Amino acid sequence: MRLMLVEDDPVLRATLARTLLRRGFEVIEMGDGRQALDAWAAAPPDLLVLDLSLPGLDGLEVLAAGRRRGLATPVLLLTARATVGDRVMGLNAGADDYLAKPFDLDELEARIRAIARRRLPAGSASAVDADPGVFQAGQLRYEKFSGAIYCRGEALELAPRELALLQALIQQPGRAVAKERLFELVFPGAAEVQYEAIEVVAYRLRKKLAGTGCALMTLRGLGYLLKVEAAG
Amino acid sequence: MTGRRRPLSLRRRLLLGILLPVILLIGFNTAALYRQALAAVNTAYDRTLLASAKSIGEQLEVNGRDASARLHATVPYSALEIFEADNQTRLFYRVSEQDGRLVSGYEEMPFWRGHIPDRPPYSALVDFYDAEFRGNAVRVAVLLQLVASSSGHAIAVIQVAETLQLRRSLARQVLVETLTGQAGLVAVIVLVVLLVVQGATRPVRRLSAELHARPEGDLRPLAARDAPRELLPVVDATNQLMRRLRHQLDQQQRFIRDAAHQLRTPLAVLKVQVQSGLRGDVPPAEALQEIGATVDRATALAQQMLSLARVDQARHEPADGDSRHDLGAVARELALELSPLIGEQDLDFGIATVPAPVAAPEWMLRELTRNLLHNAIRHSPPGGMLQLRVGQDGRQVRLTVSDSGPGIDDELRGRLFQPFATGSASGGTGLGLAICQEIARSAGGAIELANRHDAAGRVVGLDATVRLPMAGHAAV
Repeated sequence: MRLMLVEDDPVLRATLARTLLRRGFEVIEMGDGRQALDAWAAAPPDLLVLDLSLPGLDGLEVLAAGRRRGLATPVLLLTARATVGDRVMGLNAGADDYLAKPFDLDELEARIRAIARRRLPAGSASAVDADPGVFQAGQLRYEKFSGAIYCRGEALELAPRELALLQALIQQPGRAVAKERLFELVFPGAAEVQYEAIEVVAYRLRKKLAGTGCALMTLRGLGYLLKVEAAG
Repeated sequence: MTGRRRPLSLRRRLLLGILLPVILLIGFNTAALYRQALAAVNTAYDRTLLASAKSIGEQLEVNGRDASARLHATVPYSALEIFEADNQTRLFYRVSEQDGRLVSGYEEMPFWRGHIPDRPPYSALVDFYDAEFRGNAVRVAVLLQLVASSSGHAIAVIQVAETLQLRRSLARQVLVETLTGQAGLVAVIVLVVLLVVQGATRPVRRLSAELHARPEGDLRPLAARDAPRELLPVVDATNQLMRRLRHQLDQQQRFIRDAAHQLRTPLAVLKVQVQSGLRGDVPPAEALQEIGATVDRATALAQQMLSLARVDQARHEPADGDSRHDLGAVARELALELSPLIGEQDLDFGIATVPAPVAAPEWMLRELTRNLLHNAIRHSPPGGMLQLRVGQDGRQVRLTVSDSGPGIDDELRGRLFQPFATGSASGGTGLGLAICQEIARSAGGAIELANRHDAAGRVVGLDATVRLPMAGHAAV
């Protein structure tokens, strides 16, 4: 996948380009707004990573001018300004997503892949990974396509409701999931909402997680969290 | 924005307010005067015209008997000359019998076919009307005169027409004289008003000139010793504003100084970490981990500074219309967002919320909750207790974050809400509470920190409570 990276700070640009290159993207580097617009129009890349503050033309102007010329390339905006107003302005000008500086490289890559998944035809995005579909926490491994959860390679013995609860939590280990959302997943289609019912399921699951390197943590009134215990 | 009209200047408003009515009044007055003068001129000249008609009537005779009586005129044309007031005015006459038959005078003058109006001050047999004769506008007097002899009598219709040059020139003269007089009056009034207004607004202009001439950053109070009493409140208010600006400016300068200092700290740390990594004091991966953590700290600091600036800016801008949000929902969202930190610390966490609408932008409520929750997590020991409660009593909304940390000592309490009071020693940016207080104030509420004690009087934690006015009455 061909990326055009428009960023005026040479150090940041070189570092980003190096990383993106290593992660399998073809990167065209630009440092000036006007030149970037010309290059974009001359040979549209698969995706444009565009900084807002640029010499020549600023990022928003480049974006607006490109869209006026009918360039439909997906655009990810980068900016040091991160107010809601800037965000709205950027999205109104035709950006697909918006990332505030400073950001994590992983976050940048994830956003690029997410845009590519949404915007590019399936065949053209060879460098775009499919959703990994595999989640790992402690000794646990969850394969989304089969729905099974393994502990050290062996399938974990879980009742359907316990499995549903663990599936929901293991997709974002360390982070709480609201009990309202869990209820929908564990008791799909249940007419009467009794959040306490989850407590029983959680109680049983907690016991079965012993020795998996993971623990079920209760955030009273809020939800549950799958905590990965420190090794050892 | 640009379409707005500039308000009238004080001077212009005074001038318009005084001169417009005066000029209107004088205009009406002039019109009335002119009409009166014209009426007087007409009456005077009508009298002369009637006199000439009468003198013609006196020179009529009648021949014949009763019904066959005939009028007979002996009027020389020159007889009328004595009535001509000047050599521009022309007089024409026509004497007719009652049936219109010409007795004497100008035949082309149309016979009078009116009826005698019943009007004073003339006798019932006199009429006046305006007409046209030989291309000139004329005023015509009509006299119905009974001419009698010993044997018979007849009624003569005597019409005398007079051209209007003299009347008109006289009327014009009256008009010019009236207008000249009134114009003089207006001129005097304009002059007086201009002088007075100019004098009255001079202090205002001098004041604005003084303000304009000030160099940037000059916030000394205005002197304005000779300002009239009406202007003193403005001078006082301006001076008060100057004082507030001075204060704010001082605060901002202090903030910038502090902020620069605070930013230098992580940079210094970073430098040491990089050098120790390069020298091989620690394995590269470990050095980079440390550097990453320092960068995160600097990032958080920059983020907090921006937040503070945004709150500050928002405080000075009118709130947008539909900013009404449920503090309870915001608290739950933030708890979910920060749950990884809660999990890492193994905190005994509990949350209880009710719908609590607050009229404030959502980002402000998020920022407020995030900072309080963040502080509580950071200060709680691993495995400690952390409680989040949102309640309301119909008028006020209350958010309480209770931690099991060391609480705050009295020495710190006084300046806790000042930027960088706690500083990096506590592991925070030193801006969180300043942000919280700014937000609470801008939403019309207050924030309060209180230590919690156990039975033995030992501090077992801190309760941070924010009270905000509740928005509306409908549930969100």
